[in-house]
Amino acid sequence: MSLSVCADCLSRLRVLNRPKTTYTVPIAATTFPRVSSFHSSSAAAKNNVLVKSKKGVKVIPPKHRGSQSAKMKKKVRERPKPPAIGERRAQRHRIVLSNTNALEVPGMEDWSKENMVDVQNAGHVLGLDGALLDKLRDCKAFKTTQNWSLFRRPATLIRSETIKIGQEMQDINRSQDTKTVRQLITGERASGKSILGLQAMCMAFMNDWLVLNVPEAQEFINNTSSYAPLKQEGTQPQSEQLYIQPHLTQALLTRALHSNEAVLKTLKFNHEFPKHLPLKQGTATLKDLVQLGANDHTFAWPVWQAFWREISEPGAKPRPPVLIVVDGVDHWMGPSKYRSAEYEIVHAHQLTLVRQFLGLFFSKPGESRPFANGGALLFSTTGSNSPAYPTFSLLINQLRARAQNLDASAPEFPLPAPYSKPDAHVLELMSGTGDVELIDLKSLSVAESKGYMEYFVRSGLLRAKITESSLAELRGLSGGGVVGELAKLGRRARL
Amino acid sequence: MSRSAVRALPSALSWTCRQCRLNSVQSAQARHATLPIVAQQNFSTTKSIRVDAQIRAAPEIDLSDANAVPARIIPSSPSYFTASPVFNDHVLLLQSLVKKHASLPTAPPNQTPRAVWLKLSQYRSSTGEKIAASKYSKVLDLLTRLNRIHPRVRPREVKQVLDRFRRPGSEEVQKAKPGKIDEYGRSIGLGRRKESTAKVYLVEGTGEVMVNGRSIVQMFPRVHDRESALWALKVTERMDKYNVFALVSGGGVTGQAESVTLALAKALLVHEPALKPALRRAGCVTSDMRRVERKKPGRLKARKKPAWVKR
Repeated sequence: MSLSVCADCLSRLRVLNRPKTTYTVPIAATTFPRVSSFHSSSAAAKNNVLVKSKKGVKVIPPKHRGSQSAKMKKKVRERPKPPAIGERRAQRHRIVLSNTNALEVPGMEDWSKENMVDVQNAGHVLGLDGALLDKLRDCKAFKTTQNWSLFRRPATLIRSETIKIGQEMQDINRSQDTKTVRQLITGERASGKSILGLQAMCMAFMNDWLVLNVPEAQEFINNTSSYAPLKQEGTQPQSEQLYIQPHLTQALLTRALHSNEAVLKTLKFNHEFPKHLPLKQGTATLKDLVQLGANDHTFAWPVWQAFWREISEPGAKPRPPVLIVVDGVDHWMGPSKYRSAEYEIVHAHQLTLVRQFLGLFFSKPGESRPFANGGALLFSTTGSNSPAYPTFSLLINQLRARAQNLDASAPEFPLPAPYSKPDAHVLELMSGTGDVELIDLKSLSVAESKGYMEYFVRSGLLRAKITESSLAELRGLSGGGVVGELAKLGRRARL
Repeated sequence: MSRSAVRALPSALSWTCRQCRLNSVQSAQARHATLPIVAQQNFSTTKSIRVDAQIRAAPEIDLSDANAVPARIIPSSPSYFTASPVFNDHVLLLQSLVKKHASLPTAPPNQTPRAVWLKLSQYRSSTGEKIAASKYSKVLDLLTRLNRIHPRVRPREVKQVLDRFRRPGSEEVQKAKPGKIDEYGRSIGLGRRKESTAKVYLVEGTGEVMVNGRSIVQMFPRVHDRESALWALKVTERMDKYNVFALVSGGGVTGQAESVTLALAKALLVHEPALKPALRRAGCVTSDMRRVERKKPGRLKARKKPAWVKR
């Protein structure tokens, strides 16, 4: 047991009791505890003013019922509202054709019928006028990846391939005998394949052609739209079941209707149409026919058939030339995502619209001409979303070899790899590649890329001077002037 | 109870509060101050120095006689009393030389003679002094400055001093084999970065670039990687003067792009050796030797420790 008092304090006890006459150190008097050390609160409260003043105040007794704990106010969490249904998709597909922050390019010419194939314009950027824009919008020619939203107003770079296609279209306009041009556009990613299709559509609209556009070939095969087996007609049994796609046909007819309304209004029937279509036999125009299919998907397929017959089979009344543009055609060169009733995979070529378009493009030499008054078929492959279909790449390689004047019997001519299983449907197309011309889109030439980058500078997007060395640098970084990559460099902010 | 009586209590029982302890210290100090010095002397066990010290002043300096014994003997080296006198002498010597010949013309970087100085360990063993690396780097700076004096006007004393600091056998130090342009006009450069290795064939041309047989856009989708791969051509504004054919393997995209940078710069130096300073300033000449740090046992990665868990 230890002492309850400190030893020194204990020793001073006697000192305190001494008479004050003797000299001592008067420290201990203050240190000596007057109250017991373990009980200090009452002593502290004794003289406390605060405690005294509380005496008069009525003390509220604690609530025994109800919770004693401090109540936390429930926090209302602010949840951001998700965008409305369809809003996200609309955002994704929205086509913005103008940027009010970009500078207006002074002295930019418009692209018109007069200067359509002017060689002087090669490497220049020409504007698109309003009427043309409406038609292009209606046939879904614009895509979100094409940088339209960067500039003040829509304009497009005229490159040598554009002029070449324009000249061919002019030849079709002028020539007496009907002629059909078939062009397959390939090229690496962002090399301007879709834009070339759009430019062809522009030129077709300028010349009052009939334009049919398939902006996404992928839609036809990826099982996102309705399909139905086609009723077998005639006596000879077909080798495989065909399928129609009513909603896609309706969409195709809608695009055709809105973008070609003026042309279709003037066209009367050459042939009799099926009785069950609710149209007046004498006064109906092709516009009425297409309108019928565009309004109701149940009529879409028979209407399409009648429409196809009208534009392809020659008759008493003249027909305008037709342009068909398909983007991303390599999706059509393999099995689709659709299944048959036996749950077997449906090949893309079993879908009637795909079969029709491809049959037209890869037509065999002996077959009759596809359009009543000629036209052009422009099919382009995709660079970024390309499925691996080796038989189709073989087909393109064969076309490329033929473009280099390589004979089919030459040892270097590309053939299917031994022991591989080439797609029989696609192999069948190879016999009809005689009229197909391959446009292998490469990078822009120096003059074209200079014109393009100067357009960026004049629009205020690129704050640099386009000199020979800076242009060389831009071209080098963009893989030798791949147009989409040049645009990427042109719009990049340099901080 | 007297204090002594209380102190006599066993230590297990008695204790002292803080106030009392403070008081005892204060009172002790007060007592000490009042005691006379004489009394203090009684406690000291050692002899007082003050009593026996016999300090005499130095004789007056005789300024009239030059040959008289100096006031004190001065060492010949001013750094005699420093920790590393030889080193300090060297620094002073080199500083004086730099100051003396500061006005002499210097040679451009590509014409300065190649110099290999003594290594730190060699210098330490030659002087017998422990010299810090940072101190020796100052010597190296001075040597490099002296070496930059144009060889035509370089004074003899500078040459002698520089030779003293040259690494023995440095004349035979391997020089990089000069690259050659082959019969097709190609030069070859090798570059490494991280895990990837690049071999670049550079030929005069129009600015076409192929990496592993593909376009550079397909090989490096990111603009940044493309820019870093062609950086050597970009900074020297020779993008449209050469064609590049690169073969890259190993590593990731960034590593591959940066290994092409190095290989391309080396191949370009074969064509145009005078570009070396420009490329060095652009950071294309020095190889980055860093590699991934190894993983250690007991750690999740090289450095990352596992999360602390109670029990």
